[in-house]
Amino acid sequence: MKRKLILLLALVMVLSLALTACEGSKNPTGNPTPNPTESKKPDASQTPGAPRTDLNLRLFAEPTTLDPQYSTSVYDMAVIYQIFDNLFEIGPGGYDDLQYSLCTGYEMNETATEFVFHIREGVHFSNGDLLTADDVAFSIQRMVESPVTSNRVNFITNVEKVDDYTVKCTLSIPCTRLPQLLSTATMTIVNKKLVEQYGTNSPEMLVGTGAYKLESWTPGQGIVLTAFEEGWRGSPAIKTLNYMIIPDQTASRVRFQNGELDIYYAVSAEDFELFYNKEGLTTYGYSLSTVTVMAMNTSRPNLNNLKIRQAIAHAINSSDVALAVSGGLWKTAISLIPESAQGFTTDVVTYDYNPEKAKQLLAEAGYNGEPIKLLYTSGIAVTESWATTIEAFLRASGINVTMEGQESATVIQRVTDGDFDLCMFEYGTSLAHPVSSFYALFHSTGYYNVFRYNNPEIDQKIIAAYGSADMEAQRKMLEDINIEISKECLYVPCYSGSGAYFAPSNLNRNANTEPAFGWIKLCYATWEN
Amino acid sequence: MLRFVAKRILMIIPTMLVVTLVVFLLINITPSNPGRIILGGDATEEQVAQLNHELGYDLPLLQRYGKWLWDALHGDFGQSYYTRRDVFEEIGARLPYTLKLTLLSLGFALLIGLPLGVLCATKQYSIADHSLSTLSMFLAAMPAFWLGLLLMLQFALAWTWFPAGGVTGGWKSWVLPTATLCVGYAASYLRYTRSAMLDNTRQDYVRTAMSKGCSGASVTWKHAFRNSLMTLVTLTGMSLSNLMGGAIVIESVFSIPGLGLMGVTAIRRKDVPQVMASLVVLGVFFMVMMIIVDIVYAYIDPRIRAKYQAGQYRNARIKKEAAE
Repeated sequence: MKRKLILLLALVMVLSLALTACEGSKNPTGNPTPNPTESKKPDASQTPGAPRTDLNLRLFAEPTTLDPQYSTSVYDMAVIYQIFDNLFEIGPGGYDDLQYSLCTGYEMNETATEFVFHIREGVHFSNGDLLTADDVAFSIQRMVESPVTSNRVNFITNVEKVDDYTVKCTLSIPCTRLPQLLSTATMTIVNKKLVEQYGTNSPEMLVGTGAYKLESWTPGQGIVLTAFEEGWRGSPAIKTLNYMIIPDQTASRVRFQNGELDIYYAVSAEDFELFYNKEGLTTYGYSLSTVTVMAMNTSRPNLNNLKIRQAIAHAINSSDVALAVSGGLWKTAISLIPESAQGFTTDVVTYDYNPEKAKQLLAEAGYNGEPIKLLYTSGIAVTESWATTIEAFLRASGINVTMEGQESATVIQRVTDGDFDLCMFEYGTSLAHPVSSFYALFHSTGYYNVFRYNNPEIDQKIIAAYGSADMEAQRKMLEDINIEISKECLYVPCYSGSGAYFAPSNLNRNANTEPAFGWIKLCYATWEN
Repeated sequence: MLRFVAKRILMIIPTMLVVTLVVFLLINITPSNPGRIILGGDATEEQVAQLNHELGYDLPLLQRYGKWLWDALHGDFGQSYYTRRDVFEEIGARLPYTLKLTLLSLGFALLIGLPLGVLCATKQYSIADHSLSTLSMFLAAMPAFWLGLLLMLQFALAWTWFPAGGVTGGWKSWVLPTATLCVGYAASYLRYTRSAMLDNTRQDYVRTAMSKGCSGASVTWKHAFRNSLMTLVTLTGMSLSNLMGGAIVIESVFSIPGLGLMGVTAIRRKDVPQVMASLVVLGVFFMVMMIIVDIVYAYIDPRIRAKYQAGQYRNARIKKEAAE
């Protein structure tokens, strides 16, 4: 009797535990409907019925710095973009449709080696200081000198103040896209006086002309920005930006569902299905310039053979890789240069999934089953999934691949040193200045030339493109280079960075552009009742 | 006793030296480049080399350790490679949260586990004993990550009783993380207490006490439980240290800005100054905990106290004899 009672008790406990794992079904998809209009943390200052004046956002990780010219992390830049302004802003048409911001007009000489920028008058920093050409000239010079940003603008050889509201830049090579370059988050204008007085990366220098000012930064918790009411754009409708550091994706999903978070980024197909077309939510799609490929080190034995590289490319089904990693959320890529960048072309040579052809090429190349190592970052679900999928494809075609999973800092170092055969390589082409990305990736001295590719002809073509003052001609040159590179089969394209995010329908971005939410000026956003 | 404690405190120094050296060597086994990590991919090799030189990263390994040690002994543990803030400033900002989570979890684990363990032992083979023992097995086996998400889905999302994360919601912010963390430890305490109590209640002295007319409660709490405390004190000391360094999963799930998450992130990024500083803090904390455990032993167990005192008496006698 006692034994039966014990068994019954145990069964009841197991069932009760199992049942608590089920959520109540409140709609056909079996998930609670989020109620984003009822914020868990309403702005205390608002009257009932009035639109909200705060916005709760997520940061995936702690920002490292908010000093624009020393920022290397996208988490920094999302916040920097609200505090500081550029000379130009990205328009609705992207980088080819710039809008004036702190600059009201500019002139460029015929050879695109001299630019004169006219600075907007009457703009103040959030501490009250007036913006002048001194600040702009100082900031541009700082961009040239900072080791973080200098490589992108080191062709600016001279910056001079012409008058209180005019700055002239002289370049060593033509660059028609200098305005585009100056519209990125690390190329914002800082307060010269504060930087000189308090130094780089000091809290006191985090004062910009943007619509928001830094209210507080609590390490590990988040950053709060409050509206700069006297900003040159006027008083923003949203007065408080509350950036919360939420490392865990599930936790952020729950907080979005219960209204503690206002924007949710989908990172998997499951996320997308959960919120797509949900009542009360709007779905926003975005594409990034990041493409993930499997890079091949052409300086290594076997991989210096084009046929073996082609065999590897034929052995991998990129669509399946994208599906395995993202559940279908990310698009299959056909080249390292994304669709949104100059230089992208569908005329590149592609290698269709063909294991039989892969085996044939391996035989022709005389591959004898020597191990080829696949380097990837361990401990991250996406990279682990990518690596196991790639391994499976390669083994199925008779390629003896060995896995090398290491922590991210080590992977970065080994890739830099060329100590790998195959590796996962993720690169974001500069949409502002694509020719610099081509240089970095494919020039024999390019820092991101992880393929160890050395072709003097391609080097010359890249230099010629760099020096072109004609935007259309430059575009054509880059496309030709892209096609030539594809023939060399230096990498296997996997997927391109794209995704979706969700926000309450009564949140209007009023955005002047289409990238991810974190990349728009939030001063244009408004809540409806 | 004082001498014993002083000796133990002094032992912290050589122990930490060995530990820091071993960890420093381990973390530097795989290659890294802090200059590149700090400056990003667009910096030139010369700029990276210059920063590495400023950081002392181009020195030989042991020399780098020596430099770190020298600076550490002067109170300078350096700046985080990533945040470029003083590492102790980073730790100081996070330590209170980890301490709070740890102490709350441990406190509730003790409050729940000890009495229930005593109950199970005194009512052995009863329905309460069987059900609590079975429940504790399940709770101890449950992964903290899964339990945390479960609690979050139910109490934060479905019922909206508590916030889903963060630490800005007042006392409510701490309920779910504490519950998640304390459940496993409460189950362990229940089982250890039960086991220790069962052991002690079968001893002759307990039978003697009962035959002398002591009440059941007096025998349970004054005699058996007190003798069971030795195991529990050790367990508590170890648990506290484990909780300090191992709350990373809970901190990640509930977005608590604690030491655990910071430490693991620092290891992944090979942020050597941050890793070493965290190690020193946790290592010293662990050793201090062990010293406290030893002191509590002496307080609880007169036999241990007597040994220390016997040692002192012996030494005093030897000196007296030598003087004579």
